[in-house]
Amino acid sequence: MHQSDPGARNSRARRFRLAAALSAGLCVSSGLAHARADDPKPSQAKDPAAAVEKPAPPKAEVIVIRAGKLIVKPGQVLEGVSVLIEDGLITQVGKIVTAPAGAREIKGAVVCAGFIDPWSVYGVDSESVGDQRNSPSAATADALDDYIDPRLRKDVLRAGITTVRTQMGVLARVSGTGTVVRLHPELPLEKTKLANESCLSMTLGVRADGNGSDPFERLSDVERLAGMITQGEAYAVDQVEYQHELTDWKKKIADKQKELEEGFKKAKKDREKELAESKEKGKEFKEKEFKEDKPPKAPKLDPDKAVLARVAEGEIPLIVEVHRASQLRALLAATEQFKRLRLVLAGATDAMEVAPELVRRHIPVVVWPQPVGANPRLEMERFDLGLAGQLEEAGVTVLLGSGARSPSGSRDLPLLAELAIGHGLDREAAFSALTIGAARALDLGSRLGSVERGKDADLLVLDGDPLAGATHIEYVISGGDVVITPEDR
Amino acid sequence: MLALALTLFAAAAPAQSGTLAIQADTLYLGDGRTLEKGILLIDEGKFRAVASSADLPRGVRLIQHKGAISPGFVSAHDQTSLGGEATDETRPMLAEALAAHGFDPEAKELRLAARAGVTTVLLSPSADSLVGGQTAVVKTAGGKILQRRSHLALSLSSSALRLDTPPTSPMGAVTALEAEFAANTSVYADVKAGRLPVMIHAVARHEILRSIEFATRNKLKGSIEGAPLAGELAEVIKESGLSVVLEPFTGGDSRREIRSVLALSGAGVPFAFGLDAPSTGPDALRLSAAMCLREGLDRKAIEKALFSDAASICGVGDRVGRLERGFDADFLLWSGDPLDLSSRLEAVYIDGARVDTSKP
Repeated sequence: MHQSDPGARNSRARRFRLAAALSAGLCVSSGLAHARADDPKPSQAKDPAAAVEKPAPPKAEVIVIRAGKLIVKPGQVLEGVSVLIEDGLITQVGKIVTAPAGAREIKGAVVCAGFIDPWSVYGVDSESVGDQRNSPSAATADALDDYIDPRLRKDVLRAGITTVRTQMGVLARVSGTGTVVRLHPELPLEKTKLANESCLSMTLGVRADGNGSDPFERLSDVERLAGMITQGEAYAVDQVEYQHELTDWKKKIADKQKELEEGFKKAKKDREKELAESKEKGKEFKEKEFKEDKPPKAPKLDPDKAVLARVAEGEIPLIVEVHRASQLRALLAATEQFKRLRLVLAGATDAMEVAPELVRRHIPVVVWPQPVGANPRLEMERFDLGLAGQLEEAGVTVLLGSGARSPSGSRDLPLLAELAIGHGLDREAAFSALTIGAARALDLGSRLGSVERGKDADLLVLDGDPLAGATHIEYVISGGDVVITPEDR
Repeated sequence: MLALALTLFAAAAPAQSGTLAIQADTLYLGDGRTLEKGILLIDEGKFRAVASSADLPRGVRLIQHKGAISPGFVSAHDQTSLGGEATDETRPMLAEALAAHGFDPEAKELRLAARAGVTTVLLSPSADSLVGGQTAVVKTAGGKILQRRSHLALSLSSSALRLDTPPTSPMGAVTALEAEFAANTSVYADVKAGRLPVMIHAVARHEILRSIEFATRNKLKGSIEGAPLAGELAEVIKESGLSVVLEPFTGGDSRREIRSVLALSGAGVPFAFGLDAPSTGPDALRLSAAMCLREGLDRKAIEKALFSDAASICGVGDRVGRLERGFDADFLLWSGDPLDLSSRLEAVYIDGARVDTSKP
């Protein structure tokens, strides 16, 4: 497990503080402060943490891009504008942008946001990709290796992909949590991980041995998935109930403390009297016990359920790779009850069979537009390259991914997107899928996916329109740094 | 409007009869050359003229196509339609077997291939037999067998080795093959006389070298098939006079394999892609081309690999794979450049008749 659920951790910390405050409070009131010299004092405990400043990131280059045509976001194009990049962020977009002294100037015919691959295994070793532990708390963030293949990273960047959602255990029923990583040749992982646990991934019907399962196994797989979400929901409810109990308890402690303070002098006198008496008689002195001493019991920490709770509560999306109509229908029926669940489908070969339901429930689909054959060993035997276009036409939110099978898959995603365009997907919809659409699905819409002031500077400078066969990518800017130049072609 | 006119015309014209004249913005001729504003004149399933201007026969209306026209793609190695019966499990050597006898014109893969613009495929026995039989060239619609005997399919890869029946080792395989060739049956006589080329399946480097050695020793013509890294032996292959049939790329392939294609092209070795359906979808041909172009392959070379060279490797280079007078009228109507993956394939014609591509 990578890290425990922050909610659980907070409640644990809170519990500790309460217990400390309680003993301190009661002790003070019973005049035994000297016996508690080791009490942590909140104010002192906080200070050292505040004193440790985050190390300042290395000063990034200031860049001005002069764009003949700037695609701010899908459907919004500005002519003859400039983009100022400082400290990894887009700080200015406008007609008149004066380059600060020492700024690097780049000219380009077309400028747009960097592409995002929401379905990738980039940076994950093959053992972890094939992991079969089926544990929701298994975290891709733990398997990531930013030195895995520097040449591949360059190839992927050169293709215009600046960010990926990468995933371990892609053929397991439960893959674990996925991580969003920005590709950058120099920065360490701590700086390039944009979201540690960005989603939970599962699969239905997909098997490592390539053999499909029988219809009963397929249905029980869906039931198992729904059962896990129910467990997560129950875990979340337990946590909430525990918080209520804690609040009640805190109130009781405060009341008791007040009561004790009011009768403090008498209580102290009584206690001293009792102490003297027991000494005299050689008896053991017993401190008075309060029933409020006993805190409510915290629910047992379960890292798997903690992740499932976040999924059930809609904090992170659940991405399910599923292909066949029967399982798609069963999945949609079984998850309807979870009102906060944010479901995303991946692959979804037969998704047209359930398109109206996907529209009604705002469920996006990540399509893998690859030229698969009619081989029945794959779940995708009925796959049609027209799927992305048909779904888009039907009103479903379409994303495009490289299918998480090969580490170099992300490199070819722009070509696959072109193939989807050639089979009916609107060009702008394809562009949107690779930029703002993917960013939003991964909860990074405020940082990535468009060229706007305040957003992260992940940009492409091209000699023509993006996702057109004849266009070349000239510069790639990742996290505010120029990582690909025309010499890298 | 133009597209509509074309549809009306195609609907009105009885298949394979009547004359058709189409003018497109660009004609990709299939051998790397292009013709701007070229006109195709089609009659009785053949190109009657491919020119920049043509005297149209009386009553023939010139249809304007806004976009490009290319020949149909040729897949130079395929088990399509053999329905998993491409191997004879009991007999490792079946020189007389014809893949044409396993051809099922109704196979779904053929429809899918036609829909993606693949109009000609080479049917081959699988690589699991030392001597698998003879390849055939077929059209993906109409059920036409273009050539019944194209190659003798051999396999010197490890997949031809067996546990219980010979050959069980690489050296055993070569020995057995030499013994076969020494027996003067009509098939081997044709092969040795150069009338029937070979297609040798080889994957690893040592298998390629062994295949070249065997072919050179017996003075054979033909191709090496499989061999993802054949380009790393480009000079040796060039010297042998053999050509290469490669598996297509499907995305996520190693860059080393893509560079190997560039090396083949650089050395002047003719090459083509074989889909080996059903494991790969037909659009893999265009994806392969786009990946090679991205890596810097010469555009003409990749066009030849998809069209004219592929047809020549299949043994039908004088009948398909080019927009050329007298060739079969197999052609594709595109919204733009056929090698731009975002271009749309708008119509497929095989032997001058429009193929229904509306349903998979």
